[in-house]
This record gives sequence, structure tokens and C-alpha cells, in this order.
Amino acid sequence: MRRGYGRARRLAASPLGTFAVVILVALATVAAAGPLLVPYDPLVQDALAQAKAPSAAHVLGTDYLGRDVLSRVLVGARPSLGVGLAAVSIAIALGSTLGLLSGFLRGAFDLLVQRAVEVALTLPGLVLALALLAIFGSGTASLVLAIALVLTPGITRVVRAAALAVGTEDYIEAARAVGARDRRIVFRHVLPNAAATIVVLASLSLGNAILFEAALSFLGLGIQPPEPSWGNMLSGPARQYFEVAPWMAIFPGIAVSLAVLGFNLLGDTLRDAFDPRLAGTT
Amino acid sequence: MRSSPVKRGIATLLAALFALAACAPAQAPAASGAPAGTAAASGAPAGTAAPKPAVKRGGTASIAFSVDPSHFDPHRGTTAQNFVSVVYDGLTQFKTGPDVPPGTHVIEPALAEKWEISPDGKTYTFSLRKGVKFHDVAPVGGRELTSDDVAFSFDRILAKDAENIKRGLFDVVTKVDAVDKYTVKLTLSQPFAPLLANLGTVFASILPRASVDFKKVAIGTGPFVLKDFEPKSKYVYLKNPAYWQNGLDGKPLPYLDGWTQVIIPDEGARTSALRAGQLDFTDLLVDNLAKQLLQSNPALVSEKFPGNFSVMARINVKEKPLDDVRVRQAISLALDRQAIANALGGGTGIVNGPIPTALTDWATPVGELPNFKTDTAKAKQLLAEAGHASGLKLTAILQRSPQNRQIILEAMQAQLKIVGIDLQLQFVEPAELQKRRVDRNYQLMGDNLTPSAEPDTYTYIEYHSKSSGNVGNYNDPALDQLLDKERATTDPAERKKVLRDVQLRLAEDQFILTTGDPYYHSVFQPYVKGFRFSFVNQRIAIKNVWLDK
Repeated sequence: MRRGYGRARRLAASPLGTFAVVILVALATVAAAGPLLVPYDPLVQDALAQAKAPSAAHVLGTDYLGRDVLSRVLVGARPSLGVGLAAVSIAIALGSTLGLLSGFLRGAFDLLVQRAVEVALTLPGLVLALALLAIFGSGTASLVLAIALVLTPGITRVVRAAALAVGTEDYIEAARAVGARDRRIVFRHVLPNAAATIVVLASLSLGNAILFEAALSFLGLGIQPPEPSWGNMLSGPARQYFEVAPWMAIFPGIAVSLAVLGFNLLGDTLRDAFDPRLAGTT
Repeated sequence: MRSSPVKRGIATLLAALFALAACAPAQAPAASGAPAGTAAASGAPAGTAAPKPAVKRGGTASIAFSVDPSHFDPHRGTTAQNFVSVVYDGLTQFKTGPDVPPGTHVIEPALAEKWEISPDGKTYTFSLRKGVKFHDVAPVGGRELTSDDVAFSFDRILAKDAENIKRGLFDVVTKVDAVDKYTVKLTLSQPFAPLLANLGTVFASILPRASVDFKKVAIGTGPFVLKDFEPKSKYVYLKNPAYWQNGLDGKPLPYLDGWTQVIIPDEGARTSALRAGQLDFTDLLVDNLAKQLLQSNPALVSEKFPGNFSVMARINVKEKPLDDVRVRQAISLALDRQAIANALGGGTGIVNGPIPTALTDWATPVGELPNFKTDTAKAKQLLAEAGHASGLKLTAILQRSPQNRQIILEAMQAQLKIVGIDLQLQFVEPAELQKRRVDRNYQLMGDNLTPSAEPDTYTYIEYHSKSSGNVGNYNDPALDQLLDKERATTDPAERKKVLRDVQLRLAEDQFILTTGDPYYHSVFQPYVKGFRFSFVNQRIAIKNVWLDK
């Protein structure tokens, strides 16, 4: 990455940035190796150990059917993060393309995209996701697609703004003068310079995507039992038991909070690192 | 998010504190010892002559419920029986009071002082109590109850109105005659054992003959008069000074001057109000929640009793492969019902056969029922015999709330997996579940049976091929015969034998996979005496309550 040296140093120097990276690396490890790390099979129900508080045998306690909460939280990372990553990848690809083209080409296409984005953004994200799931039906693929479509308009708008900003730069003028085609300009010049924005956006969107998955699974529309996801662990009987056995819901809740915190902090830190106003100050 | 590092630091700190807070109550709810006062309130064993308690008169009490009724008419499907059950009486009632052991359901005279049943069991002649007065509220104005009011009430009870959803409890009655001022004769189409018990429910309340809108107005003979109410908020009752039943001190019930029902939808808010002393009792709390409340407030008193809601999984026997009895038996044999019952109660629970164990007068012990003892080897064998050696896939539909359906079906998922059955859960909205129930469009459905003290409700209503309550396409002629017999056998000892045969048959058929019930508690302030919750028809026996303060 050009002009990256200073950025990388600023990144490493930021304590919150380091903290974020630590959380995310831990989460990534858990998601990847989860099934190998678990002390118990997350699906096995121990009738003699129902709703037990955290102890030496079960570090985070057991749930209402005697399943180990730690194992379920670890294994639940996969669908929660997996769905998030998949949805954000699609949303970034879709949103960036639309945003870049829209911001660079302008004209009728831009107006159309802008209006569509504005309409989409008037709806609360969860409501839109529920509506989309009603159309797509249930299942992981539907979940990923619904979340992706909900995130896309926001991404389109931000990338479009970045593209607009870049579009007025001198080197773009220069490229045009040399006869470069629009497509070449977009992908060879505009995109790399909007890349910073897109990376930050990706990180922040991951936090959002994880929250959406949790909310939708909480409502019973996402990952179905008995497969654990952080969202579905928060709902159902865990809610009923909250006064007497809060650990069933608290630990998945903390997991979601940490993941979202991690991605948001990373996004913030990256944004600060890429901030051109700070370039050259170290 | 241009937030300062300080704000973000605080956010991180909060997350960490959360984690600590969660680990802190680690030693908490393992205690299973009886909280202070339970021993006394649980009631003496049946037959022990307890000394007559010294009752105190006066005072008012308050209790909270989560919902209030949409209307007051007991004959038109009102949903909150506890709001009208203290205003009205029936011809009979279930015996209530501090000397009645929990789980026993004894019918005694109420507005009818005595009755005679003809030898063929088809005619009941009730002699009404003389001098019973309706509440002194216009337009009824405290006049005396006569057979004319009873006849009027039965016209309403038997009316073929779409809203009259409990008509099935009484539809064997073909004629009601007011023979003289204090005598009423009921003619039945066949002998019907559940009649006296059903007459003791709030659905057979006796109303005064008056042209009032009984949905908006409640005037009866009951121990309390509905003085005032504010929908969704508060219902105020005052004592009926002319009530016909006497208390333990020989003077008329009730002991209280009045009481109030407050509407608090949120369970946490209700328990908080009880803790703060703003309420005198709560309604039902599941075992683990009640224990938690009692642990943090040892002064409170609780009474524990087994539930009879019977959360279960209905099977639709028209759906292949569930039409094969071997498959159903295999499913039953794969279940560990005690584990499921325990999960319902957050620790301990009771396994139920077709008739809930709480109905001690009628339930056959689970140990004597076939297909109730876990036997995964036999389950696999039966499945193989039925042609499913390589496994089976089934779907169960359920509502998200109440959560007890999810608890039992998730437990079943894991247990069935062991024998090669892959059970999928599908959450649906209540309206859709109701539609699919009525259309018989499902394989398995998480649901509960209708709580009652009458075994007929758990048997005939659910399983008879002619019953409108049969939503699983059940049609077993041998069972139908037994069910017809059960209804018609009025001698309790004989009836119990027939019901035993019914339950054995149902355990063979496994039309409905009953699981269990948790224990429930009613929790109250220590000065509340004489309270004994009765499941029978959700009448709250407030008339027996006095305040020792």
C-alpha cells in the first residue's frame, strides 16, 4: 500500500487498535477451530446438569437442557461470524460497484441509484431484513442475502461520495487526457484511492452484520435450533430463565458485544490511520 | 464514530464488568431446601384433623395478573375466569379451604343444596338453597335466587352461539325444567360422569334473569361484588355482606372486606411489586423462578403444587410415517421424559401420562404405562420393523411463546437423534399454528392440553373420533368404546377402572406424546392465610383468605 508506512505505524501505536486486533484474531481462531477447542459437544444434553451455574466442570455454566454454554458460545461463533463475513462481502462487492459507477459516471444512472438508496435507507434495517426474509424463506443463504441487501444501500452511498471526491482529482483529469476509458479509470485509479474508505466501511459493516444475525436468530428467523448461534442462544428459554440463570444469555451477549466492539474499533482505527489529514505527521 | 477514547474505554470496561457480574451469582440457585414457611403452607396430609385456625376479619388484599378479560360473560368464552369466578357461583363447587390437601378435587353443594340422580343417570334433580340473594346492584337489587334464574342461565349455557366455546362441557343436557321455585330438573341424552364437575366450573355460572349486557356487567351470588374497574389497570371488589356460605367461625364468608386485581403484564414487575409489599399474592410462578424469589425474600410464603397443563407434542396420524403405530411407539421409547419434565421446571418436574399426574384421583402411575420407559434399543428395532432402519425425518411446528414448547421439542430432538430420527423445528406465528391445527396440517405440533380437574377433558375431548377437540385425526374404535364408557360411568370407583383402561390404551397408541409438568408456586406475603390455589377451573378461592395483621 502506497504511503502505508506511516499508517502502519500509527495503527500499531494505537492501543485500542491493538485491542481490536487481539479480539478479532481470537474470534477468527475460535470460528476457524471452534469445534476442536470445545470441552463438550455443544449439542449433547446432560439431564443431570440442567441450568447449572458456572463451575469447574462447566466454566460458563449449562443451559436449560444441560448443554455446556462455553462450547455453544465457541461453536456459535461460526455461524455468527460466517454469516456476517459472507453478507458483508456481498454487500461490499455490490455496494462498491454501484457506488463507484454511480459517483464516477454521474448522469441518469447516478440519479436512479441515489433515489433507490434514499428510499432503502428510510426503512429501519431490521424491518427491511424481516420483509426480505419473508420473501426469501428461511435458511442460511436467505439470511446472508437479506443482511447483504440491507447493508448495500449504506455502502453504496459512502463509496459514491468517495468516488465523487476522487473523481475531481488531477490525476483523473490526466488519465482522461491521455485517452483512458472510463472503465479503466474507475478500476485503475478511482478504486484504489477509494479503497481506504471501503476497507473502513467493511470493518464497520461487519459489526452491523453480526448484530443483524443476532437479532434475526433471536427472533427465530435465523439459525434454527439446536445449532447454536449467539443470537438464538439469547432467545427463547434463556430469556425466561434470565432471572434465575442469567449466564445462559449473558455469555452469548458478551460474545456479540466483543465482536461488534472489535470490528467497530478496528474500523475507527483504520479510518484514523488512513486519514489524509494525518498523513505525514509521523 | 468520532467518540473519544474515553468513551470507548468505558464501553470496554462495561463489557468486562458484565462478565464479572455473570460469574458472581455462581453459588446462587443450587439450594433446594424448602424456604421458610412452605412446610406449614403445603397442607397437612389427607385426613389429618388440623386444629381450626383462628380467623381474622377485615382488610383488603391485592393480587396482580398479566392480562385482563376482554369481557365478563362466563357463557361466551371469557378468557379470564379468575375475574368473574368470585362474582358468580354454580350449582356445585369444588371444595376449597386451608384444610383441603392440594391435588384433591371434591365436589360439594353450592347453589344447589342437594341433588338426586335417576337410576338411568339421565335425570338430575337439583334442590336449590333457599334465601340466596343476588348482589345488591341495579337492576337486580339483591333479590332472591330462584329456579327461573337457573333456567335462564342454562338457556345461555346451552345456546348454540359461536362464542360459546365451552358448550361441549354441557351439550348432553337436552332439557332444563324449573319444576318449582326451588327445584330444577336437568334431562340428559346419556349418562354423563363429568356433569357435576363441569357444573362446578365458572362456565356454568348462575346469572340472574335480567336484561343487562353480561359482557359489560357482572352481577351474581358470589362472595364478592365487582365495585369498579378500569380496563387494563385495576378491578376492585367489595365483600358481599349477604353471602350464603359460612366460614370457619360460623359467620358468612368472605373474611376480607374487599380485594383488588391489578394488571401488570410483565412478570418481573409483578415479582418486584410482591417483594416491595405492594401486592399480597402473585399468580403462578414456575418452580425455579419461585425458588429464586423466595431465596431473595425469605419472609414470603409459597405453596407448591404440580402443574396440569401437560406440555406435549401432538402427532397427526394421517401423516405418513406417523400413521404406523410402531413409529409412534419408537418415538415414545426414545424419549427420556424425566429429563424433559425437569427442564420444564428448571430442575425438577413430574412426568405425565395421558392424564397429568397432578390428577391423583384418576392418573394411572407412569410406571404402569407401556412405552413410557426409555428403551432406545427397542425403539430402533421398531423403526427397523416399520421399514425405517436407515433413519427418518420429521418436522414439528411450534410457537415461540410460551417457551416451554421449545424446551420439550429441543430435548426431543436430541433424544430422537440417538435412534436415527432427525426432528426439525419450525417456528410459526400463533395465528398460523391455530390455522394448521384446525386444518390438521402438520406432522408434530408443540402444544399443551387444557388444564382441568376432569379427566374427560384430557381423554374424550382430545381423542374420541367424534370430538371437535380431536385435531390429530385419531380414530381407534376400541378407544372410542372405552371413552364412551368412561363418560357414562358415574360411579367413581368404576370410572377409575375404565379410565385406567383408557390410559393403557392411549399409552399403546401414543397419539399424543405427553411429557410432563413443572411444579408451580403461588407466592404470598406471610400474613395472608387460608389461601389455597386450585387448578380446577382457575377459580381463585379468595373467599377463604384472611389477613393475619
